[in-house]
Amino acid sequence: MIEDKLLIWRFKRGSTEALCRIYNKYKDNLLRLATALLNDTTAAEDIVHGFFVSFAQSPEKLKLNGSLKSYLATCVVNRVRNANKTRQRQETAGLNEADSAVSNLKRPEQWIIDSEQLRQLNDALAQLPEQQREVIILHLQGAMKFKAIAELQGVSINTVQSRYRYGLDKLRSILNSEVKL
Amino acid sequence: MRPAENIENLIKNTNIDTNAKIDEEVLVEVVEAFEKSKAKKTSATEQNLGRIIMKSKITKLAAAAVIIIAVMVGINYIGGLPDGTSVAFGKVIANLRSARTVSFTITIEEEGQEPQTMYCWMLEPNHQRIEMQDGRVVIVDTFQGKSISWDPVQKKAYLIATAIAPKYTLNYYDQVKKDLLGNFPDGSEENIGESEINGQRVVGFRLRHHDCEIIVWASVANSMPVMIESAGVLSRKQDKNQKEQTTSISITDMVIGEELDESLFSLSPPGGYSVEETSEPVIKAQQQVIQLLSARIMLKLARACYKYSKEHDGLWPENLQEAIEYGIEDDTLLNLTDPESELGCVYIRPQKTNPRLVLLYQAYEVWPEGGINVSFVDCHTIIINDEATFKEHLDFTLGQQNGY
Repeated sequence: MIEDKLLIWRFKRGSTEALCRIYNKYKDNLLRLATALLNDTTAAEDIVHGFFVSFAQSPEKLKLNGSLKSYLATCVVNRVRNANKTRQRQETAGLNEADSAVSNLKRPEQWIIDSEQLRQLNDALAQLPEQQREVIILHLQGAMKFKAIAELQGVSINTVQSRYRYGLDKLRSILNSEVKL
Repeated sequence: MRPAENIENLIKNTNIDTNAKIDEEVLVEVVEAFEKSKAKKTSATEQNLGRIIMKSKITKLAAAAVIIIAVMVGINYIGGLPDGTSVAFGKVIANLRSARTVSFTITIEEEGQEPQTMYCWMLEPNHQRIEMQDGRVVIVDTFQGKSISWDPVQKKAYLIATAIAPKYTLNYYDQVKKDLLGNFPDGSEENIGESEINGQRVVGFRLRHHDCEIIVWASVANSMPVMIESAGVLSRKQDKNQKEQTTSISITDMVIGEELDESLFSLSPPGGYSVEETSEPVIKAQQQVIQLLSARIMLKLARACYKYSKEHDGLWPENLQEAIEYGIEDDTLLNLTDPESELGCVYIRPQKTNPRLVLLYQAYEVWPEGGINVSFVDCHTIIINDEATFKEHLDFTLGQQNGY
């Protein structure tokens, strides 16, 4: 989008207004994306929060090949992956119980206001294999093209399309069985 | 079973609600991080604009004028009047249109090049003064068909004859203003709300036209334009291997209707300068202006033909004369590159509505150095620089017309 090019141009030249516009324009989308990938609103909030602070600190590093939306989505996905790796390491080290006890505690105030629809959808998405979930979320919520997702996941575009198809089939069956219940 | 699209739409359209208070807190922290990072930058990292301007390809002052006109003409391509605002965009444009003078700062950045800043003054109907950051100045008087530029370092001035086309075709500021409220196509204006620029309350209008987007910020108090920002593809790719380049232009510190002393536009250099008469530097730039104006004329012709086809069940006019009642004015038929000769473009009557088909192209005997304007069936009009690319488009069009 041309508006995004203008925003980036202004942001790289020190415009706080442009930064605020980028934040307001994309924060909901990134929160939704991180939440869907992690199925953990607290962790998603931390990731998006941390990402925006880091984004604001280094505008000169911003170099886009595609759209701003998919660039931001890719950054958040990378952070989610790092968070998942850390989580897995902690689980391996047997730290998960204490950690999850902390993250399950409701903080006094949360950024994301939970909605029933969001929770149901995220619960259903959480039942998909990670790679399928990632493809579906990046394509539908991150507006990323299959080609870009293939590069991110390091697989062929056909594999990505298959993951997308299988993921949707599975999701459909999960949501249908919930309806029957 | 739900169709796949339903699942896709469900995922796409699931909204997230956020706590406004936390939202604000996060944003404050993000902005603080940004401000801190800005403060860290030393003056050593700031760009030496003067040096950059000297090195850049587009530092020729005359070329700078072309870019300014491109922006102003760009505004002309954008349509309609938005609703629901206390500041009407029409009033903003009307103020610009009725202004006898306008001054502004313009910053231009092309991808891969460093930004450049110039200061401009325009006095109706045909005076223009541009100052570069390194002190060089150009003054254009289109009625006299002359311009002068001088370099304060070398104490040298160049007096340039600019009369290479009918005077009024180069009276671009007046022409731009004349067109500002006329012939608007369907627009996509959007009121983007209020903001503050240098302590002044302003309202923004976002305008789009093909690959170009312009945001006009106008004073809430008096509807005067204050700032214009634009980003768009000014030079299209000519083939698949060439990358389209986005040019970002920001016009700030706009002052409209201010009394400007005519001495600002004097064609005499300051005392102590040697003067050399020449015509070389601006001819190319003026040809570009003419090409731009010529493209606009072709756009009007293309739109008239398109309108004709809409009202004739998809049948396109036999010739341009048939479309004359559909928005072709007298001056639309002028051949800018050669006013004494006939219409300077060739019309190919489309047999089908395929946006890739050539509709009009600038006639030529020898391929011009700056390329030719070409309009397509969907009315988009571009400059094609190399003949081989044009021939590809033409061959494709003729092939389609002949049914293969």
